Parts: sequence; structure tokens; C-alpha cells
Amino acid sequence: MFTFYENNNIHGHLTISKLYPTGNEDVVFDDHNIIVSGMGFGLAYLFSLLGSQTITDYQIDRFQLGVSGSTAAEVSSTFQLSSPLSSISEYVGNSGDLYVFSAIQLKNGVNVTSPTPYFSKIPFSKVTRINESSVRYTIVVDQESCNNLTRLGQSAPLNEIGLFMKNPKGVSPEASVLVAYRKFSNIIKTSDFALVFRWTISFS
Amino acid sequence: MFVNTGGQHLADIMTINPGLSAIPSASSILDTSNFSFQALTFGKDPGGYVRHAHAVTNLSAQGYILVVNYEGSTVSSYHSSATASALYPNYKLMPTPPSPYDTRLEQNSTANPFGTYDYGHNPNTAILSFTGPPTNTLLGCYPPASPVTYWFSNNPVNPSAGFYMSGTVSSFFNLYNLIDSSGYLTINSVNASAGRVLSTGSDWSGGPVRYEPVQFGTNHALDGLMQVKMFIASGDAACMALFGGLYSIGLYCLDVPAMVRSGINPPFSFSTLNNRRIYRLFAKKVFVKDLLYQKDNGTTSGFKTIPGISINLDLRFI
Repeated sequence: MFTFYENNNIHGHLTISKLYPTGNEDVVFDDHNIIVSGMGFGLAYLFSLLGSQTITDYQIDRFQLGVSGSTAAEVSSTFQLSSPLSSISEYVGNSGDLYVFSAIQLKNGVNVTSPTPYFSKIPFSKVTRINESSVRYTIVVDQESCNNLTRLGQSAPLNEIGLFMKNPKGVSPEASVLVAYRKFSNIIKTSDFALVFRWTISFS
Repeated sequence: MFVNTGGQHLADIMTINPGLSAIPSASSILDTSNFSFQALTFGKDPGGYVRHAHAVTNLSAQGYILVVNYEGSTVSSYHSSATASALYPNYKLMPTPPSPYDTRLEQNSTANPFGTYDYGHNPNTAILSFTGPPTNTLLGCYPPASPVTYWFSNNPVNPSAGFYMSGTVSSFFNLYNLIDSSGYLTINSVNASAGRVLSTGSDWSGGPVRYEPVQFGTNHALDGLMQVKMFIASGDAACMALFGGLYSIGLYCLDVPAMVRSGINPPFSFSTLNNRRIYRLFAKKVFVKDLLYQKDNGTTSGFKTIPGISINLDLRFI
């Protein structure tokens, strides 16, 4: 018997900009990302036909933001954000435009519902094929969203983000899995600007 | 090697419009099985498609597979490397090195001596002869379902004057309608119910190729690994050896957008005679040694006792 190994080379890049009402845009972060093991988990489910029977369940359609990003988490075995935003109000405040919902998060094979994971939807209109094998996810955190975050009474800057595959196991209710992660430099989000995340995943 | 067209396939998956689910006539496109692995092909060096058993075309028309053994009649195994040595420097033997830009298994021409069937991999003329010229029946690289005679010759100048060993080979792939005329071996997904079992003792339920995860447990880092398992039965393996060996393997998905553009709608069924599927190369593996290499054991012919061959292709997606 012969056994041979092949590794894929999925990689990605994240650019974060502050977008001001004047239309000015400042790039505050521009670096590679970390594709984590959940991507392999989801694709293995897809190609072994053991997961969802609907292909759109393998799409990346949601994200989380967090406030305790760590370079130690920038490894492929990461399966969760260090400290994701923990309520709808943290995401949207009083009048933000993000579509935020709670759902199960699959963490290393375990369905986690507590503390309640919250996700924000990436509209399909913001998923763009930019070349034959690359897809860009554009996430806009509007001026009214993710402002005045605190932890332990202290102002908490945004500094981590993760992309999630919708529901690779095809279970009901949906259970999402982290597929890409990145810690970024601290950003104290205020209503003075929106944040635009342009996240490109290249599949070859 | 995962090739760029595999990346295109993943990008297709990530950008297919979920809104299709609301359109009754289009929703079936979203079935995951349309996007999983669907075929394998086997191949060899481009020069091999006009050499080995491909080279002796006059007797193929008479119902034989004939191969010239450049090692002489003392050897009753067939080594593609011996042909390369005998025909050096004209014949280099090695497949084209793999590139992520490859769109088929062998980028250079794989046409036979008649200049036909340039598919980039081994064709299946046992079926192609049904729609093609009848003289091409035994031009490789798989035998018909019923036994066909092969001859070894040790006379490169006049092959028919040098017959010294013969036998028969038949195809498992063709017997069970698993390979189409273009040489695409269809993949059967894991099926635990009773199916065809090859005589090797291994349970290949549902066909000679299957895929499965190595493990799905509580560690994502380990769960991103899956295997494509394949078994080439002895008759198909022996015939491939006669036609130049096994030096490359291609793994394919369906090119769903291209099929839809061509007016081919789901279900994308497989047919051996008239397969309308359009395949897209996802990954390929190229070897520098013939996986079907065999040798004599004393007076026992290596070729006549060539066993089936099991191959596992482990794929890690991160």
C-alpha cells in the first residue's frame, strides 16, 4: 500500500481602515491573517460528505470582534477569540447597523452555548470574488457600532477579529466554526468613524 | 499538489449565491455532493503515450495487446524504465514536473500514435472504440471487461517474430462501469451498505475509490485530514503496466459553473458511454518511480502475478 500526503495552502490578508464621515480613509492595519484549524475541519467535512448536505453551510457568513486579542492566539490551533463581544448591545449600541445574533459555536468539536456566542452577519453582497481563487469579505462596522466598550470598568479597545464558517456539520440549530483569526493593533472605536475590514482569503 | 483550479473550486463554493435555494429549478445546485471529489485519473510521462504497448498499433487491430520487452525473454516482467533505457536519449520517461498552474494531469501532449485522445491522462479505449475507430480498441490504458490477450515480444524490429509470453487481462473498472471513455474513474462516496468487494480481502464497498476522514474527534487541528483511498485491481494494474506504468494521479471535482453554462443541470449523473460531466483538476500527485513496478521471483513471472494496488492519498486542508 502506498500513502501520500498533500497540504493545501489557504492564506489570507486583512486590511483595516478608519472611514470618516468626510470620506477620508486611514489604513490602520495591513497584514496577513491566520487560517486556523477550523478551516480544515470544515473542508474535510465537505469533501468527505459527512457534514451539511447544503453547500452554503460551508460558506463564511459571520464574524466576531473581540477585545483581548493575543499574538499567542495567532496559531492554527486557535478555535475561539480570546474575548469576543458578549452582547448585542456591545456590537450595535443603540443604533448600529450590524445584524447581530446569537448562535452555537463549535469549539474543538464541542457545541458551546454558554456564555452565549454572538455573531455579526456578513451580507452576501459584501462577499466578492476578486480573482479566480480569492474571495474578499468586506465588513463595515458603522459609526454607531462597537463604541464605548469596557471590561472591568476600563475602556476596552477592539483588537481581534475572527471569521466563521456557517454550519459545516449541518446541525440544527446552526453551529459555526472559527476559520480565520487575526489580532490587530488596539482601536478605541468611537462614533467619529466607521471601521472597514477588508479580509481576503486566497484558496490557492 | 493542490493546483490553482482547486482553489478556484473552493472560491466557487464560498461565493455561490445562497439565494439559489429559493429558486426551485436551481436549488439542487446547492447540494454538497456536487462539490465533493468526483473522479480520479491515472497517468504517466507524455512520451509513454506513443511507446510501450501504445507503440505496436498494427496488432492491436487484431485483438491483441503487444508490448516489446527490451529486457529480453529472460524477464517476464514489464518495466517502463527498461524501455526508457533502451530508447535513451529519445525517451526521458519522467512526467512533467507538477505546477500549481496545471489544469490537467499531464500538461504536454498525451496523444497516442494516431494523434488522438489527448486527454492529459490515460484514456479508456475499451469504451472509446464504441464511438471511435475500431482499430483503437486496445490502445490503452485499460482492458475491456472481458479478457483480452496480451503478448510479450523481445524483438523490437519485428515484434510479431519475437513472441515469448502471453496471457489475458480484464478490467474491473470496465466490468462495473466505473470508468468513462475519457479515463475518468468515478468516485463512490462512503457507503457502509453491502457493495462490491474486491478479492483482496479489503472491503471496497461501492467501488474502487472512496474517501473518508481520518478522524473526527475533539481536536480540530487533527480533523482537517481526510483520505482518498483507491484500489486498482490486478487486471487494470497489469494493463496500465503494459501501457507504460503509473506515474501520476489526478483528483477532480465537477466544474459546476461550466456545466451550468453548458446547459447541463443537476443531477450531474455519471455515464461510462456518454459522460457529460465537466471535471476540474483539484490536486495531482506525480511520482518519479512506477508504482506498478514488478519483478520476477525466480521462475515466477512478476507480471503474471501482479497484484492489485492500494493507494491512499491523504489531504490536509490547512
